[in-house]
Amino acid sequence: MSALFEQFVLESRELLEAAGAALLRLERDPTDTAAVNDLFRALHTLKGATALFDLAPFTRMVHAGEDALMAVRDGRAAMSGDLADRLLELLDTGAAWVDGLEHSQSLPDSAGARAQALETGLRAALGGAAETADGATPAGFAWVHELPEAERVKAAGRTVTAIAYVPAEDCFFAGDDPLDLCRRIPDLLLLRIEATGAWPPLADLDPYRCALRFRALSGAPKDELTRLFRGVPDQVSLATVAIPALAVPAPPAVPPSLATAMLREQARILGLPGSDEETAARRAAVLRAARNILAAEGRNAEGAALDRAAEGPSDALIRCIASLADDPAAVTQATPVPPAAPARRALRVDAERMDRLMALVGELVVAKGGLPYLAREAQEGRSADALAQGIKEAHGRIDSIVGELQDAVLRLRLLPLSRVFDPLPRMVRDTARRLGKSVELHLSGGETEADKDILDILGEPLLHLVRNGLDHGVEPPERRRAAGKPEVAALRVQAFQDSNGIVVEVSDDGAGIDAEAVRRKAVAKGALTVEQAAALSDAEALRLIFLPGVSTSETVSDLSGRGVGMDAVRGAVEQAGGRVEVASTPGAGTRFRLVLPLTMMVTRLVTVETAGALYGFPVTLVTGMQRVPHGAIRRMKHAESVVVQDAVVPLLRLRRLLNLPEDERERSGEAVLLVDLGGQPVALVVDAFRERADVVLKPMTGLLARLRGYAGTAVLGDGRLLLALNLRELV
Amino acid sequence: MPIHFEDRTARFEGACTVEEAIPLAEWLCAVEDPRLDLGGCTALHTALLQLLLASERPIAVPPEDAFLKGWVMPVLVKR
Repeated sequence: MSALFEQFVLESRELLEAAGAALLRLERDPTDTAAVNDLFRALHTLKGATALFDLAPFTRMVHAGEDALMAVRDGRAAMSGDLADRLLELLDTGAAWVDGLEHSQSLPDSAGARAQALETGLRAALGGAAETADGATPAGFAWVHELPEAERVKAAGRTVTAIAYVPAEDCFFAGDDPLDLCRRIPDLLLLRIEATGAWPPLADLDPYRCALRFRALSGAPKDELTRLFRGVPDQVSLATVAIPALAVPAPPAVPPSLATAMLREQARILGLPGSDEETAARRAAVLRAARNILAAEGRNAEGAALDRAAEGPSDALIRCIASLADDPAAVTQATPVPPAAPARRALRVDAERMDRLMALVGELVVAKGGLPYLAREAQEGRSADALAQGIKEAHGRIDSIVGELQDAVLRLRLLPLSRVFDPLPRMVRDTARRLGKSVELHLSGGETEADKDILDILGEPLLHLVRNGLDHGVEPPERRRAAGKPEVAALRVQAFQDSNGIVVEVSDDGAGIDAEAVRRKAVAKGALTVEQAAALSDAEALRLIFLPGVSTSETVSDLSGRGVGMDAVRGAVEQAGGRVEVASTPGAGTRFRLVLPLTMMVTRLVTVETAGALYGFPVTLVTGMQRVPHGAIRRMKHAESVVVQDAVVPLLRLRRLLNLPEDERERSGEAVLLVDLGGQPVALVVDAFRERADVVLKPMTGLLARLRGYAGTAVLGDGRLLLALNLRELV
Repeated sequence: MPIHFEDRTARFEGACTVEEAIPLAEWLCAVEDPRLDLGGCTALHTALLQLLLASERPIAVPPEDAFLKGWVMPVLVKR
């Protein structure tokens, strides 16, 4: 891929995104001229870029969008939801094509047809308000399709500009010479000169009154012709039309190509009788030959079909080779599309942050310079005290630099949350339209920064929560009216940073979640018993929606409501070391709150000691630590529980979870860690609490990766190994 | 004069402009069996073209000019 093309791919994506954002702004406020201009500019630049690479269907499609916008800008058409839909569709298609271009550097074969379909759709959306000049075959251009074949032969199969030029009767007085104008039409493919009426007797004809009209087809783009006819805009109408290819007489019988003949021969060879040994040898030779033929023909993609057939019996292989010989196209289509390569990971970094990193590395080099000096002093027999002092100083300097360096590197990975917010307006718009609800999305805190990995994880759950809010939270307009609420629902997504990390809240002012319904559902799903459900407070019952199979809604729609989503949301967020909270007031709305660590590289753990080893739990999951006297632990058969803050919480022992021997020590109570397991509070007995630690968690690799229950390992400052536990999997 | 009216032949030379329209109209009405020679014509004003079309007279010598030959002559012949 050339550097220029690479640039084109990047730039096109940005332009498409910019266009999308402008379009949404425009739809909200159709009078927003700045949005029209932004959108227009983006499309125009994109058109120019596509033309540079000779991507005709792409250019044409963008051009159609531009035309539609022109109509909106000139007040010839109104910005309607339908039109916005079409334009968004156009942008989506563009984005898909750009993705394709990045991989294959060519547009899909269907691009031409797709462009035409979009063009037609746009025209329909513009409705009758649009001037004929904006349509492809609007009234007045039917003749284009009625042309006898002989006349349209030059234009067949091309997208051309049709010109209908009816000069004003008195145009000669204005100095016009219509025929001369037609002579100047670039790439003239057809010119029809017609009388506007029947000719009068010559004597009665007024030679200064124009009685001719002109119809023409040109291969030049409409813009160019608009310029040519700029003096007579009222007398000419232009339209971009696709002239269907002529009914092609049966394709001339192509003499079978050499490749075809050779492939047929290979198939024949395979069919020859012979001993098993001979057949096997032949088979190998034939396969080799067939592959080479395909490679030479540039049909490498079809090699896959061949390889598949090669695994089967001989007659399947013969059939395959024969079909390769006869009908390359059919086989090509049968081969699966190669999976899209993973998107390139690129990270844009502020130059400022890069500079800070450089400065720190410089300081580190200077600090390092002090060490040889210390070594020399040690050799020369300086006192141990003096040496220790020197080493401590050097350590202090290096330590502070390394600390800053670590911070600087983490900052390199920080990106604004707007990256995950960007797709939301579009999604809300589309979903709300589909559901027939009117919703205003309020985004705030997009400038909050979080680690790139966190953002990657946050994207999906956020989309889901927003979709869920739209689908289940926000009521249909009539119910909102009945409830005395404003018809336009408000959906708020706000992000901010607090001491624990990044908080993203998704709230709606909809119907809220009926805790009772959630209880019923959870019981029906067998997640808990009726008694257990009844014992839950409403807030606790709400958390049940995060259990697999429990949904917030009675109805399952195509959007959400299958009860898989919330579970997935919780899973993704917890995997990133965060947690989800939900609060809802029936009739007033629901609020979801995602709390995520600022970065995934350094994880803050609460460390505990159990059976002589250290274990860590993410701070975000730990809600408290306390000593519980033995008497406070209730026992029912094997299940233990404890009352914490007026709630009965199941009590688990880490030693038992890890299959370690029981703690035999004499003690008055238990050290209990209170952990929030996705809405389920759990009390965990450990041997002793240790300090909190900021660690860089390394995931388990190799054989250990299959061990469940461990989130990773970390080395503590004193060199001891810490195992970070994933309680959910242990319990 | 781009159009030379000789006896019963009108010879079109070079760019024939709208100024020729009245003389051509009068000549076409006056001459019994006009002979039209467009051989040297390089540009034909619309006004002249419509006179030729309305007169329904055959073109004796077709124009050499590519545009006229390609796009205008077929119309003149088809009448």
